[in-house]
Amino acid sequence: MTRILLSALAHARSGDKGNMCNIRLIAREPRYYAILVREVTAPRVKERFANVCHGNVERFELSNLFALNFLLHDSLDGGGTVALQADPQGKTYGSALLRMIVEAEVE
Amino acid sequence: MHRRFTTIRLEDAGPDRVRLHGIQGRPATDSYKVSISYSAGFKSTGQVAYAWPDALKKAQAADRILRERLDRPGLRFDAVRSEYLGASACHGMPAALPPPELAAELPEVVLRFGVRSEDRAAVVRFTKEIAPLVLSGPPSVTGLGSGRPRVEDVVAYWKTLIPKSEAAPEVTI
Repeated sequence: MTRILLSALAHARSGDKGNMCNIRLIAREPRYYAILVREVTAPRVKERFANVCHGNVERFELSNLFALNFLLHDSLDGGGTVALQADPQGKTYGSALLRMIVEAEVE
Repeated sequence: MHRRFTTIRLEDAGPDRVRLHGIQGRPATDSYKVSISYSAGFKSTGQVAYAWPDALKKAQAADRILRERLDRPGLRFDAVRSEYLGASACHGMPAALPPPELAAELPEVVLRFGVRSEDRAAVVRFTKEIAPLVLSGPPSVTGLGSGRPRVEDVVAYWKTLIPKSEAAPEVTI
């Protein structure tokens, strides 16, 4: 097992749904999907976004697409037009998640 | 028709080609989504850029000054937020702040400052605080060129579902 930056295993896109941020994490290779499922759990994502996410984190598994979808409730400073933050749509949250360090059995 | 992402099958179909198949749908639901906008006060955001050296420290000092200037007259805000573009703004978490030795050498950092309030006068007062900050606050600062930040109406958004039986769709051209 190696400690590795999540960006080596996956890429991500994110955006807003009201005051919710939606992060899609997609394995770069099908064989990495199981590592994502094991390492990138809803509680760990919640911990990662503790400063901005004041609600639950829900995780949805899309094994057919080798992807995970996360919904971060109450995470966009009120959302859309209300938010004061520089990124009211959470477009950069995906890359924030990719900074996470995970344990992986890859070379 | 609702397409279900969990039913999509991916298949490698040669260089730069992917075949998608097996996609199943479900019938439309018996509800409509309703998007409602409502007036929710006022907001304004302004930004000024601090240049090397110690750009982040200067921006942080400016933030302290600005907050004190807004506190003193007892202005009431629903939200006050400062961010440091170029140092940590996007990822919004302490882990994203550059280490001190790197922070000291950043070419520039933009202090982005925003307020929101039901009280328009408080927001207007905020917009008048940027110029004094530039003129008498930490040096090597720019961003005053476009004048005072604008005061914006906040149009907030609320969504819900209603039964289709409650609505009679009609299109007029």
